[in-house]
Amino acid sequence: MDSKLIKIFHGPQHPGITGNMSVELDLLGETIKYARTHVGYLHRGFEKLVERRTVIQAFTIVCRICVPEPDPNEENFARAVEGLAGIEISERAKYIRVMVQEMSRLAAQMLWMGGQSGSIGMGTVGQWSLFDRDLMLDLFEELTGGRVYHMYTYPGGVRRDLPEGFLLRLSELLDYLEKKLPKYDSIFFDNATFKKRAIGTGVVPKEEALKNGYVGQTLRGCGIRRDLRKDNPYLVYDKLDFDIPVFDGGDVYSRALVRRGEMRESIKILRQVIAQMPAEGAIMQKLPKHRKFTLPKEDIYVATESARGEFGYYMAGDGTEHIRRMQVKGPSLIHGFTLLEKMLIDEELSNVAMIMNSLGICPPEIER
Amino acid sequence: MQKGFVAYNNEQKSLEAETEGIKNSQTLIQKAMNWFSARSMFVVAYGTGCGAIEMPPVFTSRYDIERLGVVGVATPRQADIMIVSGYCSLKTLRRVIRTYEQMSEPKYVIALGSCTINGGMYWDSYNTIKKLEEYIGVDMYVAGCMPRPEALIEGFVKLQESIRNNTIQPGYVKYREDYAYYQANQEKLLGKETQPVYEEDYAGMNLS
Amino acid sequence: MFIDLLIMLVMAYGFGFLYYGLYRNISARVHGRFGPSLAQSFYDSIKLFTKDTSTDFGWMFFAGPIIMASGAILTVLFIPYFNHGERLVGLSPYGNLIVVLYFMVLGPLGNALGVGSHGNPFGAMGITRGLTRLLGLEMPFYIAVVGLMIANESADIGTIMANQAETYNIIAHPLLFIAAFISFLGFLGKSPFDVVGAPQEVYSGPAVEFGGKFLALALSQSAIFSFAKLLLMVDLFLGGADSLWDLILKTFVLFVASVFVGNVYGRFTTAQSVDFLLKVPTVIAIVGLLFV
Repeated sequence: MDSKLIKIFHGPQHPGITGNMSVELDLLGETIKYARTHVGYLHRGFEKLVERRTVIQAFTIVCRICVPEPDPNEENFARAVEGLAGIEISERAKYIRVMVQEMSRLAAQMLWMGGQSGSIGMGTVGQWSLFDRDLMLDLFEELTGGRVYHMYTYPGGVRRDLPEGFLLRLSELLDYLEKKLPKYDSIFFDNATFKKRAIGTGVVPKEEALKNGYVGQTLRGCGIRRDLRKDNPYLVYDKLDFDIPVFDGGDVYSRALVRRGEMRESIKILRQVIAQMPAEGAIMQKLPKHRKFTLPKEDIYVATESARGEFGYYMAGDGTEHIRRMQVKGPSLIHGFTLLEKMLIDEELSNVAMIMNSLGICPPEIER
Repeated sequence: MQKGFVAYNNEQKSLEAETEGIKNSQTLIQKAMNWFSARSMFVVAYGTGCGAIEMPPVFTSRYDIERLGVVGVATPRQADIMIVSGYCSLKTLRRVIRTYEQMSEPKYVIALGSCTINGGMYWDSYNTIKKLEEYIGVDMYVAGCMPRPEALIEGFVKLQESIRNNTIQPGYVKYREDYAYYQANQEKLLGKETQPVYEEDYAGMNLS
Repeated sequence: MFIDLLIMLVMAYGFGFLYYGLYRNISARVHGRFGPSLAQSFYDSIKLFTKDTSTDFGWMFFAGPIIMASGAILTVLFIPYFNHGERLVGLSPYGNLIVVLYFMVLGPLGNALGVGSHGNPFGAMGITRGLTRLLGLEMPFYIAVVGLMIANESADIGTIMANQAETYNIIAHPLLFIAAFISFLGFLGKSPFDVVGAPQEVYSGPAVEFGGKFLALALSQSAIFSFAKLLLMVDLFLGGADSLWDLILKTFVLFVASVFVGNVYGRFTTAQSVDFLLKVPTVIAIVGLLFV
């Protein structure tokens, strides 16, 4: 090892890291020469825990796999169980699920905005956006009973019906957010310091992105139009009209612009959901008794577009009331290991937090 | 039932009398010191588990805990309070202990979430610890999965009250006095390498 | 004389902490929240003084914060508070602007000595960043100050203040003021030039191993030093203060301007901030110098 290099551990106890993980860096001055990620601080053995529980018991813990946005997990789990057990859910339940997905996406983007701006010392943006995220969490609380973990998207539909006047309050919040988003543009996305820091930092080449299987904004930020909601529509996304924002730069700023566009698209989708949602319909299909809920001896792969990219579940049943095997593949898995290690080389130390936030790395879902 | 209630009442009264006694036995300087350390709390930023997701709302404009004098700092050297936000895997526990031992006294620990009390959701997980208080001194538990921000704020307020009135024995005193117990628990789980081992005598200093 | 010096120090300490409390309050209002009480910084510093010290890295580690604090105290003692030259002039008759500029560099150097003695790489990195930034800060500030010296044909702060009886230097030499104000933002350590202690990057930088009493000393030092810099700017460009109210008003206006800039902009990297400081304010200062 070269004696000129300084070795530092960026994390796990460090404000500039997105969660409980660590990046080991070898620095020459402030330039990174070698980077290695360390994970395993959050391993709880989810896939093993699920095997020990019955299907409905397992439902309560899957949402804890990814903390910032638990709803894609619930959606995946519910859809996998429904696919295995052959349950068809009603149209109204599908619309409610789309609504929950988009609300969760909006909340996650607000949280991302706080992290991204905080990583370059713009505290004001984070304070505002976390407040707006909290308004969304209030609606979630009204709908599901929980702020962060909802346990709402149940196999067979959703757990309870919408409260009275919920859609009205949701559209009021959307009006408020539509008024608020231009303010974020002026203070954050068009800010001179953010542009100066972000343009040309953390570049992902286009050909590498496809070859290595990157997902989400990393892919859309280098000009590749790929979104599961369009390519492989689930629920009722094929009946809704929305665009997928794509930018060419491949750098931190392009990924930020993609997210900015997605927030507007989410609002658009939510407005359509409010308008088109059928007023009547069962929210929950009749399920077998909890103890007698068995899965056939088949397997299935389902995937949902989360706020940071494709979130996939592989599930296999074995004819009993337990799940034989459940494998989770989150969007951070590739971004957090290989891409980050590659991307940090020859970057400055100052940009580590910004790049990690921009890739949307969420350690709990890497380790499960 | 009536009898039990009376016994409970008596116990409560004797406890209150005891705390009054402690309160009155403090000197003026001790009282002032307690007041200041209750009024100003620096929290070390370490998101150990899921609970870290409810910390940003607590520290930002919706719940604004800076009103109570609670601020986040980066390093454990500057901190008074560590929030262990959720379950600790074995690898995290090592870092939690190191962080805790780097903080200078008086220091306090708030354990957030049911999983620090008895394992909570992960009661049968093979990689998480179940009771945090076996490994470090804990001053305040906030139950729930996830605890609401209001619950965390209430935890802070209760901790401040007990520091100001000096009504509880702080966790760090317990940790110092019963160090053998904590160390045995740590070593049982993590092996002998929980404490830092300095192999080199860097910067020309004698560390012995 | 001695009582004057004592009053100056106490005033600097008090006003420094008051302004730090105001800074936290105004930022909180910009963020849309209530914010801490005004005296919160006092509470913090007193609490830190009562804390235990668990670190020991040799005597140089103890000396570092003391050198820092003495640099700040000397700076504030050499800057006159009022422009009538009767009370609270401190040691300014015995030294001039050049001495003050020299003492302003003493703080970072003392910091470097203290921080260098513990082996933490984050501290060393923070110090390197601080000294690199100082390189960029000093150029425009010194050019602006030299411009004022040439215009007034004196390096004495009292003379410069006395010459502003009719027009303030902010109106007579606006370009010099802009250059000095930008580097003043950097001296205060507010964004976009807050690279030194950036928690997301270098883990709070030089203060990484400072806890308890050291941190309290560092906080007091930075409070006194911030007030000294505000005073220097008021003396050089706003004609000094006639009365206590005048002093409070002028320092407060300057201070609020710096707070708003800090709340809106993000943080540059070290290279970017030095690059910016050596280009924009330096050019402005040189153009301003040509007009003198």
